[in-house]
Amino acid sequence: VKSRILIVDDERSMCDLLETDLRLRDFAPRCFTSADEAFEAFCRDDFEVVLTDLKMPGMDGIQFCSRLVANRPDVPVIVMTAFGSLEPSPRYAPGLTTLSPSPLSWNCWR
Amino acid sequence: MRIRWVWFDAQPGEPFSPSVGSEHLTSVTIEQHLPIEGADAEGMSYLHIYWPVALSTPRHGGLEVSKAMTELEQNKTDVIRRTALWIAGMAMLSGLLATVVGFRLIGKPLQRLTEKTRRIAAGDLLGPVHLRRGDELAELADSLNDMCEQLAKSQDEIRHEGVARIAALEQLRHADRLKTVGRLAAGIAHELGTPLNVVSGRAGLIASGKLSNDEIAESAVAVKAEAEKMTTIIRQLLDFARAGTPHKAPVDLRHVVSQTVDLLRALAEKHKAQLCFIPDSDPAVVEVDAAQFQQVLTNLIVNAIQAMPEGGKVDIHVRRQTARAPDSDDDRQQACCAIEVRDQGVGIAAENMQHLFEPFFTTKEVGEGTGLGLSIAYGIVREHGGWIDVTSRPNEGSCFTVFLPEGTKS
Repeated sequence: VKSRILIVDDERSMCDLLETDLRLRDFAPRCFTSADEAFEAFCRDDFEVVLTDLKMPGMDGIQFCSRLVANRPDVPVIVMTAFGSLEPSPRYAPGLTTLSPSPLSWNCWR
Repeated sequence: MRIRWVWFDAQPGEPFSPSVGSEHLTSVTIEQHLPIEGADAEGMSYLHIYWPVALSTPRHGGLEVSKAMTELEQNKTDVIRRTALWIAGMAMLSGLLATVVGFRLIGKPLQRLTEKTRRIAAGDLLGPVHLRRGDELAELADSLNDMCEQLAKSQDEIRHEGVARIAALEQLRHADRLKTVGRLAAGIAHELGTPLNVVSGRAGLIASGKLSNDEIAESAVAVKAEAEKMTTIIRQLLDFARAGTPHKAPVDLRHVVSQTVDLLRALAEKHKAQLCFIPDSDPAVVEVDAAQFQQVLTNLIVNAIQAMPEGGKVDIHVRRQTARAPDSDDDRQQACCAIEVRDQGVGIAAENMQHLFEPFFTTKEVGEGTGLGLSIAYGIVREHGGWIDVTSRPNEGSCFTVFLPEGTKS
C-alpha cells in the first residue's frame, strides 16, 4: 500500500511537479491549490504526511498546520518556504514537524 | 546837550527863564531833580532836567539840563542794535561750540554705532565696537557687542543643527532606499523563486530517466511555461527600472485614453466591468511618451477592474485644471492636464496607502499581480514631471488622478 501524502500549494505548477515526483517515488500524492479544500480532504480521508506551502492567500501554512494538528496530532506536517519573505521564518508552530526550505531535498523521501 | 542857569520864577522872555513854564517848577525842592518834557518854538521835543541849587536869595534857581528827544531815541536804537548783535554773535559762537563738542562727544560714537548696526544687518557679526568712555553710549556699544556674540553663537548652533539634520535626513533616506532595495530583492526572489524551483524540479525528473515520453513532454511544457513567466517578470522589472528613455512628443491625452480604453474593453467585459470614457470637447495636449502613458493608463484601469470582483463601472475623465504639486516648495497652482480613473471597487485600506507605489507591494491574490504596476506608473508619471493623486473609501471605490503640468508642453 502506497503512503498517502497531502500536498497544498497555491502555485499549480509546483503542485504538478510535486505530484509527478512523489508518484515516481512510489507515494500516493493528492494535490490542492487551496488550503480550505485540502482541509476538507484531510478530514475525509486518511493521510500519512502533509506537505504545505508557507505563503498562501487566505489561510497560510502555519494556520493550516494548526488546524490539522487540532484534528490529528499524530500526522507529521512539513511546511515548505520559498525564499522571498522579509519576515523571519516561524521557528515553531503547534504541530509543525519540519520547516523545509524549498526546493526540498528529495533524498529525505527514501 | 545844553546846560544853563535858570531862575525858576522867571517868566518867558525874561533872562534866565526856564524852557518850560515856571508854573511847573513851583514844587521843586532842593533834594530832588525834576525831569520835564517840553517843546521849543520850532516844535523840537526836549527832555529838561532841573537841579535846584540852594541859594541865600529869596529866588529859587538851579541848573537846567536839556537834551533833544531825537538824540535820546538815537541812543536807544544804538543800544538795542548793539545788544542784538552781541546776542546773535554769542548764539552763533555757542552754536558752533556745541556742534564741534557735540560731534566729538556724541556724533562720532553714534556714527560708529550706526556703522556697526549696519554691518550686523548685513550679517557681519565680527569686530566689536569699543568706545573708551563711561557713558550710556559706551553701555549701548557693550550691549551691541554682547548681542553680536549671542547672535554669532546661535548662528553657529543653528548651522550645526542644520548639518546634523541634513545628515539624519540623508541617513533616513539611505535607510529608506535600503528598505526599498530589500523589498525589491525579496520581491524578485519570491517571484522568480517558485518558477525556478519548478524548472529545477522538472529538469531533475527528466534527468532521473524514470519518466515516460509523455511525461517528459509534459515536463518540458511546464519548464517552458515557467521560463515564460520569468521572462515576463524580468521585462516588467526592466520597465520599472526603465532603461529606455522616453520619446516625448505633443499628444492629445484624449486620444491616448480612448485607444487604451478600446484595448481593455474585452478584459473589462470578462470581469463584468464597464469602461466609461466620454471625451471632453477641449483638447488636452501635453508632451509625453504616448506608449509609456498607455502603460500608465493600462495599469490604472486594470487595477480598477480588479478592484471590483463583482463587476461595476470604471469612469475615466480627461480634463484641464490647476493643481499644486505635492512635496514641492512651489506653492503656486499650475495649469495641468488631469486623467482621472474612478472605480466602484473595494477601496484601499488606510495602512496600505503609503505602500501603494512601492515595487512588489500587492494585495492581490498570488499570481494575479506582481506589485509592479503602480510603481511603474508612478515612475513614468514622475519622469514626465507629474504626480498621481489617490483618494479611496473602503467599499465605495478608489480614484487615481494623474496630473501632468502643461509646462512640459513644447
